[in-house]
Amino acid sequence: MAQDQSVLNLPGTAVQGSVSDRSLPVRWAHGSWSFIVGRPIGAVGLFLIVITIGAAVFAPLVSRYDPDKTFTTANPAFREDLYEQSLDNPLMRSTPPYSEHPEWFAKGEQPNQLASPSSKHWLGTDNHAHDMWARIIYGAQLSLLVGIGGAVIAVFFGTVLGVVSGYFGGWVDMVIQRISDAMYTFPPLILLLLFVQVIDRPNKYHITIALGLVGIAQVIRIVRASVLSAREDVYVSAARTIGASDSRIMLRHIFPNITAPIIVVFTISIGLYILAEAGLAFIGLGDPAAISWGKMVNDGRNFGSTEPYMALFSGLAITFTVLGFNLFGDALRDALDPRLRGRGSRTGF
Amino acid sequence: MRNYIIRRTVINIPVILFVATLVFFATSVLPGDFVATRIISQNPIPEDPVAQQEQIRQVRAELGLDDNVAVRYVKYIGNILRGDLGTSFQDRNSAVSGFKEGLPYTLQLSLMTLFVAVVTSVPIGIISAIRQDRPIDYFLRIFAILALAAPNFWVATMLLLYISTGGIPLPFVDWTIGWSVDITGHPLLWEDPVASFKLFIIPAVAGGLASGAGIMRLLRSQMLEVLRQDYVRTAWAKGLRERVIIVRHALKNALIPVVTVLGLTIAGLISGNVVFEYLFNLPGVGNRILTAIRSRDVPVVQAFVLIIATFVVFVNLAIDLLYGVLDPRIRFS
Amino acid sequence: MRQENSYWVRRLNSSRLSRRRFVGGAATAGVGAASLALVGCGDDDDDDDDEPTSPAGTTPTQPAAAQKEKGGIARFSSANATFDTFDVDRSRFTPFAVLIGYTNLGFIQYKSFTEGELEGAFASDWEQPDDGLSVSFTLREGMKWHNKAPVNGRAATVDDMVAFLKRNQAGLLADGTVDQSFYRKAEYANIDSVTATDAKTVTVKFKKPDPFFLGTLASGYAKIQAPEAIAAFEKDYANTSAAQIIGTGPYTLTEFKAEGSLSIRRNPDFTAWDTWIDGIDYFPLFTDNAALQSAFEQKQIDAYGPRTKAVLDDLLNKYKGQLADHPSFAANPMAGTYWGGSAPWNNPNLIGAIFRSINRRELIAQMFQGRAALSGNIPPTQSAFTITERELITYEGYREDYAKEAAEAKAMWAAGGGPALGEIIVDIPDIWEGAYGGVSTLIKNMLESNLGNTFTPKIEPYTTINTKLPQKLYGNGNNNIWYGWISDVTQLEPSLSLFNVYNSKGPQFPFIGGAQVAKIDSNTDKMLIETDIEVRKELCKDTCIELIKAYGAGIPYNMININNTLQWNYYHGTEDAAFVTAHQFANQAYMDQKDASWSGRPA
Repeated sequence: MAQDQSVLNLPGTAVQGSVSDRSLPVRWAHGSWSFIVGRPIGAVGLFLIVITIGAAVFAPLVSRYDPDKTFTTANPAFREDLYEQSLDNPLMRSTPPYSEHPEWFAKGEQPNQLASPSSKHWLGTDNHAHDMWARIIYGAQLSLLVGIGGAVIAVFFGTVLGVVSGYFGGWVDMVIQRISDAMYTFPPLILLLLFVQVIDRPNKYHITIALGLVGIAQVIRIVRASVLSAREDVYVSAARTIGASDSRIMLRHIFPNITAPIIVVFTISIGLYILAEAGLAFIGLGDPAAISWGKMVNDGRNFGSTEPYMALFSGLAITFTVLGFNLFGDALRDALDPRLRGRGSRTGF
Repeated sequence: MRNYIIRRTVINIPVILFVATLVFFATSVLPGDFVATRIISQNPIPEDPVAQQEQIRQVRAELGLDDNVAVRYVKYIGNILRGDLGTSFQDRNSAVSGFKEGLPYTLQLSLMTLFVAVVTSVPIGIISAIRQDRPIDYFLRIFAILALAAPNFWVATMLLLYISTGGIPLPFVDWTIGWSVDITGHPLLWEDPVASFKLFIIPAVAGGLASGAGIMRLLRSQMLEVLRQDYVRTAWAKGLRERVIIVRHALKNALIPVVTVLGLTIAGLISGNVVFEYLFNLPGVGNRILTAIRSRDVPVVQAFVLIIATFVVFVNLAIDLLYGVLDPRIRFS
Repeated sequence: MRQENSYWVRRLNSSRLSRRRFVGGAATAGVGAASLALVGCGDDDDDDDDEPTSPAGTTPTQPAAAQKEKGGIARFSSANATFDTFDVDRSRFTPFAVLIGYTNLGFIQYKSFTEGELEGAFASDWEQPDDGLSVSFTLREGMKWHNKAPVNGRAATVDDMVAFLKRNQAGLLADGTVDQSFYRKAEYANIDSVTATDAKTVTVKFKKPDPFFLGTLASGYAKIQAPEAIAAFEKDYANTSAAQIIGTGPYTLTEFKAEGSLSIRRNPDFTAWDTWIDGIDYFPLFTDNAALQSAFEQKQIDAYGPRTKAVLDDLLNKYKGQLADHPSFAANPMAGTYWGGSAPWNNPNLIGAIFRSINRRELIAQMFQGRAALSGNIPPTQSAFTITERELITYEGYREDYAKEAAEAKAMWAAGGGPALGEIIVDIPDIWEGAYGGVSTLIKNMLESNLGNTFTPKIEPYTTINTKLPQKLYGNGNNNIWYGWISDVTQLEPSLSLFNVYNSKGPQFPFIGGAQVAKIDSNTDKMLIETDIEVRKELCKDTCIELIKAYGAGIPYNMININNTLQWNYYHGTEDAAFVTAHQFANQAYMDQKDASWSGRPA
């Protein structure tokens, strides 16, 4: 393992023929392969993640259509004679039976709204006659941005604060712990709502930052716990004895030793943040300009009783993406750090 | 033990004060202003805008909003210490009374959610662990991980839609699950038990399955770990019956970490029901705080957050104490 | 512009409370007849020329009174209504106008909005000489105030009527301070004197002939409150408690919770006319359309307006013979506003380019699946006063060939220096976006694809938009415009509001119009004193054309939608002009408990 090498990096200690002897890509490939073989469920998760990332990155290639393109269709029900009458009598349209047949008055091509799945529209169309497949594909961009971006922010600051807090102890630890306790005590969704509303015109980046900030406290806790145990290890004492500086010890000796829990909490947070963003968009507080799965569920449920596809497919997209990160995170945790089992599922989002 | 409780409570005072500070500053930098919004929305096109601005200034002064932030902060903390959590701008009642009105709905929903979570997760977790790697284990784990991944608001919306209008057709049998849901009256259990149950059970199931899935997964892994321990092997060797071993030896020890998660779940439910209360039109705490944030009813936001935070602090304390009951090895020091 | 009215009406829109039938029924002819009635003081002047041309103006037939039966509590959904105040003279929130329409009587009220027919209320009768310089009202006999402290059921007197008029005219609180919130003060400005000539009669004299005064008195806010109640609660009305509402009307407010759940019940002392329904319960259900639909299907509420045609068709089909559709135009046209009095938004090329970039037909198809009509600055709901669609579609912005409009818009934008403006913020009301999810993106894409700049939608509550309007933050040098529902149609005829908004001397002109057009000024000047309804119609049409040519003159209209309201057959409603006809609920609406659809309605 990496941290062993940092202390015992002496020539000749490596075992002949071991994997750690080979070049980095080979080791990675080997590790990945044994991960897939050893943890098929994790591999399924990885597969779902790869699909989602692929969809987001290659959206223009796989979406088939522009997600904002309005599809139209001919309107065979149009009645020229009635339309002509209505031009002189505006109240005709609001009178039964005409009021129940607006299609009689709709001249020209009409938007093909809420169409059922077909070969032209694999997942049907939404309430504004956009192709659902294209929108689901593009929606992956927002979910991944928010999920990964939020996790990066939370993990970066959480790690820095957690390491500092755990390593120094004393009043630094005391202050950081009380702040983290307070943030942990704060109802997460409320905190999120407040953070998002603080910005006058919140867009997807603000939401990402807000999610990251809300998640910091949890990362601090996990990192600090790992630091506390790593701090007592022999190699840290050794480094201290030879007079290494605090920052060097934290960076070179403690940090490499706690990467496992950090990677795990990172992966699992992504799924949580994706859900949180969807929930925010669902109650109408997301980025109005972005294509968001949560918003699509909300828009779709108005038509749920008659045209269920819109709510159904966008809900499934969220489910499978989150599922991917959960499965992969679980497998990583089992592989890297079994002690973490059960942590990191914070309710309330 | 008593010293422990006192010490923990004292430690938590700065935590709660910090929460108060955080919510104070978060709400004071919110864009938009309740007073201006309220007055201008009553009269968007005033004949005399100058007089209107003067009116806004007067009301702000009356409410003490014109003082600088530091003064307001000191006043605010002072009021909290005297037990005054503020008065709603909107209805001019004390914020605490609004919380009290909302609490029964939130509490009932939370308890029902918790109930669903526990009754689904504990048996499933045990079965899944003792039948490890059998088909039933895989089935239950897939179910759990799907429940954890599916957005609960989506599940709740779909359930409501199909249950209340026509029902969900079951496969293989000619039944549908559907009933009338009293959305207009949102009765509480002690007001109309049947109608209340029919309404609350939908969000309770949607939320409970998700919380339960997390608990189930944790319980399963804890059980597996405990079942491999020496004392369990010894129990098997002694020829004890499976049920005794599972319940008396394995489950009791596996439950300890589960209690933590349960505690977090309770804490999360009080605020996490915002979306369900919004969806199902329940006038609970979450719905009220959402409305208050939107309308910039700052005292309500501050008071509600503070009460919830205090509650969470004491739930955490209770969990730690419960540890001692479940695991006598733990000593409070 | 009563922006918050549109807000509240919209929030109430899924319930029976909106004014859709008012608008739908106030047909080509209805409006004309109405205005005649207003001038001719209740004269039932049947003018055959004004008969509606088929098929407009058909209203569901009301069964004879003999078939009606007493009983039943109606149930509707309401907003999570926050009321501004319980002092109707100082309120602008439509929900309150609706509420007080049940509990308090005004001088007079609309017997039929469709026919423009007035009837007595607090005053049993009224008389207006031909010179139009005065009007006298006769107090209704045997009428008592609600039995609530501090009024305690005393008999109503002419002094109560005088006090109402004087308070609204003066716009003063009891302690003599001027209060900005007497919003309708201007409508009483023409009063010269108010006197109680005897114990039964009040005479109002005007400074000059007043064609609009009876309309003012019949409107939803002109409800008489007990003077003792005003004295007791004036400082306290904003606390909105049920005890504060004391009227002489057929219903009393029995329960009120701020979040919009409220109940009214029959007033046992009310004798002026028969009331059929025992009361109404309102439930705050606005937040979720799916919940609303499910409540309606379970008959927990008696009426529901589906948002989409698919749901409408589905419900009509599913409950064939049990419910019926009651269509009508909405009260709120779709448009935006901005202040066009200063650069760059006084440049016709720029506002014209935006005006023409909006694809109105696509919005109609996308948002309403065709259930809407194009609208100029006077919507077709006031069809007697506006141009026909045939004429409307000859003007820029409304033409059938959108590709050509878009191309010309692009050229205008470039000519006006639009590309140099950079990012433009488009505020969209939150409840508008909520009702038609994705509409903000639709508008953004329309503007961006034609004009090239970045248009950023920003979802805002109406309160924010209302806050920004008087500060002239839309237009007026800012890269900020907004679209949504605007002011509802509150008057049978648009003359008064045209003057208020578009005349350069009008009270609202300094904030939302700003584009002074000489022809519009002279037209609106004329219509304010014109007593001949036919001349006013022509003036209004001409003004409408001028406004469209000026690209809306600060208010670019798009369309007005048609609401389909489903009602279970057991519920027989009123002419649904709630804003001014909530009172009709008391003498027209009833529950037919023998109707087949009644079974399954929860008690």
